[in-house]
Amino acid sequence: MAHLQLDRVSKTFANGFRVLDDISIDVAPGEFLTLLGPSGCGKTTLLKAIAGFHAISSGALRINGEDVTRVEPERRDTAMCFQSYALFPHMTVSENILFGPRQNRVSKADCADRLATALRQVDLGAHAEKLPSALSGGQQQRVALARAMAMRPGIILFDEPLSNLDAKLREQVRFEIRALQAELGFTAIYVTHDQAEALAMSDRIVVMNKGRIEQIGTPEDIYDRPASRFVADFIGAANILKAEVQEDLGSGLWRMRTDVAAFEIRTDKKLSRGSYYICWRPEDAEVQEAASANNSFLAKVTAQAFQGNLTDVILTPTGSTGTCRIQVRRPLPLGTQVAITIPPERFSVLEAVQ
Amino acid sequence: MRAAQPARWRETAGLLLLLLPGLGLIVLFIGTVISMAVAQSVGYFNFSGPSGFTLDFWHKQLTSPILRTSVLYSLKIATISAILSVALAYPLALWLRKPFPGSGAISALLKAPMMVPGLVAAFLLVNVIAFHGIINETLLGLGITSKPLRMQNDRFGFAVIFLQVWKQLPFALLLLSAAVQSIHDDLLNAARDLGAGALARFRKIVLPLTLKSMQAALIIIFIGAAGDYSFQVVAGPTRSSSLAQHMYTVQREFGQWNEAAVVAIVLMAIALTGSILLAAASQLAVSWGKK
Repeated sequence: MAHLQLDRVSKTFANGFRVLDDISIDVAPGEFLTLLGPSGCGKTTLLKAIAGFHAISSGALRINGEDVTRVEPERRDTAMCFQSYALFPHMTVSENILFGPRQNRVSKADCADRLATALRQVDLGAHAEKLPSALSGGQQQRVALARAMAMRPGIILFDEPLSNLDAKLREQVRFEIRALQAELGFTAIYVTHDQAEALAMSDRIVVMNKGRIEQIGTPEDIYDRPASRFVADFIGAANILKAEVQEDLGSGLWRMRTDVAAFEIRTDKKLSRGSYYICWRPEDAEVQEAASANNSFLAKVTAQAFQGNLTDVILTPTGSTGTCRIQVRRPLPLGTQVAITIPPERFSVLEAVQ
Repeated sequence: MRAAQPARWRETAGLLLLLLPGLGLIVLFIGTVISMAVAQSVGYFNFSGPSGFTLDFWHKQLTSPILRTSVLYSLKIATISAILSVALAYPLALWLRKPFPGSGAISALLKAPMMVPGLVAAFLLVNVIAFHGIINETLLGLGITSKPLRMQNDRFGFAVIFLQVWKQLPFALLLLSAAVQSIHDDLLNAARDLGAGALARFRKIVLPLTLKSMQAALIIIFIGAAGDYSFQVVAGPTRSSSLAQHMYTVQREFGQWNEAAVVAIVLMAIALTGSILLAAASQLAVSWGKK
């Protein structure tokens, strides 16, 4: 269990491309922190910088208060689970798991203990003498995890470890990783571009875009109170509208005008006159047959997709050229007009319109 | 069931016919040459006397001190050349693993000796190391030495080893470069992440994963150097003969085709045994280094 601090970390490649821009994060001991963002946002570069594979251009990295910015990867209190698993193909499962402890001159008795513990934790005792090529993808992933855990590091770094697994297995291993992390208490830094994975596993999520942090928060914060259009759009589905501030109704309630309707919106933010982007989630819409007085608008069902547990419905609001998306349990008849109501507290106010 | 048997027979026969143009020619050529050498070594195909089974030629050669010296000399040159070529090729292959500005040109330059015929290379080296070669003239000119140093035809065979390494290193580099480049970065990073320094990564990851290429390079260089004639006659020691040189002398100078066949078989046996031993030794060394 280790305390990781990233202090104004930046990295610029030789060609001048700034891949990490002023990143500061404080990761508490035992925390499960996820770096989430689209391809090329810098999340893997940041992870590799923490591991020591990439030198940073400026800023500092501290583990348990000690500055490790210039410390070699082999001397850092970190272990990494690679996207490709990176299992040594010429070594058995046992040899792979014991590579780190042996390298660090751990005693034979301790090595045996670590091997037995790791194999039990990942339930691979029956495969100890097999080569990685004889294992399935899920088993290889578990060996990679066991190899990292056998190092007993303060921090385990996960580089999209589930991306090569099928959906069912991904869900299973996701729970296993989280359970092991809770049991052993190591600090975990987890990189993924899968927002569902991030929401399901993390204590906190760092949403990254173009080398910068867009938002840091708990999964609930990130989903329910996105700070920007990028976060709202990247995490789940969101209906984003431009809204002009009309009136401060007091107690955090604001009247705002959009091209769909006027809405009363509750927010903690102190708004000034002007326009802001606002958003609401598809599942927050309440479908009624007739429009009620507040926060409602009429719309026509133009398309839908049945997903099994719910139905995605695309609507065209009356008097608007745009569309919005809602989720309902069962499909609605195409062409039907419905009234949509959004409760004031279900809106998020994003950045100001520039 | 009965119908299946002829079908299988026809399939096998078809496969053998398909293999015949390639495999058949190899077996025919190699088989003919080796059988002829074996037959000559035991007295048949005798061009200078009566043909008939005898072990006299084997007896003469196996008791000859010249053959013993030649075997030891060829083994020494071939083993050192093979190991040195591979040992020098590894760091170069690792250095050139990732492209960098100029790496293509360096790689091409390092492979240039492959284009120079061996005999030409030997003469070029002689120009450098001869009594009145570039090195001696320079040393004398600068007053560093008072008389020319003896470098050509040195007793140990350094010049031959140098030529072998100069000529064979690019070949080893070619084989090892491909093997080293096929190692995924993540593997080396994982080893590093697990506490392995540069030497440990080389011993435990790079060597085992490139073992087959290393063995191929060792064996091919060993066989080539064991059977060397041209480097030996131009730059080799005058008191020791390589096996190829001895074989030629026996046949050419003494007209003993049958004894030359004995030397040829010894040379083939040395090449085969040495290759197996080198492959086994490298396998053992890598297994030991992995621990």
